[in-house]
Amino acid sequence: MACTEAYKEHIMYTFNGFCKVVIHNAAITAWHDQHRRHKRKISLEYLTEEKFYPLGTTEEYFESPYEEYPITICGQTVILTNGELAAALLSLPERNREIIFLYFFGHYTQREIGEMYGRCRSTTGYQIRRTLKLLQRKMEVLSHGESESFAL
Amino acid sequence: MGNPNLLPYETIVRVTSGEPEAVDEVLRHYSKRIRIAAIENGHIDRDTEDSIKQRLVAALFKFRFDEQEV
Repeated sequence: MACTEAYKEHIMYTFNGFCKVVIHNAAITAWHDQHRRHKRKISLEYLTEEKFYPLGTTEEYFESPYEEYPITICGQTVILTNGELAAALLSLPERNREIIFLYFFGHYTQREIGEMYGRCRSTTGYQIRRTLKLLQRKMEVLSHGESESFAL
Repeated sequence: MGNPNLLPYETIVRVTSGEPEAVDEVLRHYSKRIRIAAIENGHIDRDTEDSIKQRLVAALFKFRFDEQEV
């Protein structure tokens, strides 16, 4: 088609109409969108008054994030947050429990612990390793619900 | 070309080829109409205005010279 003046004018009018229609439709669409959003919106006052959702978390959440299991070893109380570990520790013989406590919680060296119990360092190290293994097995039993007896 | 309220033919050609300046010109040309369309409760809603502009720019590239379908 030749680019005659009439053709150009036709395009100009067509384009004008096109733009007008687009703007009109876009305005309607925007209106509908907003209307839909308004319908979904719930005012904050309504929510807080009706107490559907608390605006913050409760303080209890911060006070005790886990269940606590206090255990007394060597006259000191340790608070554990792992129930299985606490139960396994309590099922250990007194001596092993004390060694574990002194080594991991009291940060004593193996030599120092050995001197306390009248043993040498390597014996203490061996006892720690054996106790840890025993602890692990006991915890596995607790978490799987099996009942097996282990000799120390 | 009697009607001075129409965009010149050259601008339309440039718009359809995607020239940013021409698109700007179209937006400026129709800014008043867009603002009127975006009036809500007596004042212009910015979000509506923006969304109309966005839709207009997107639609500009769909304009066809020969047989145009909206």
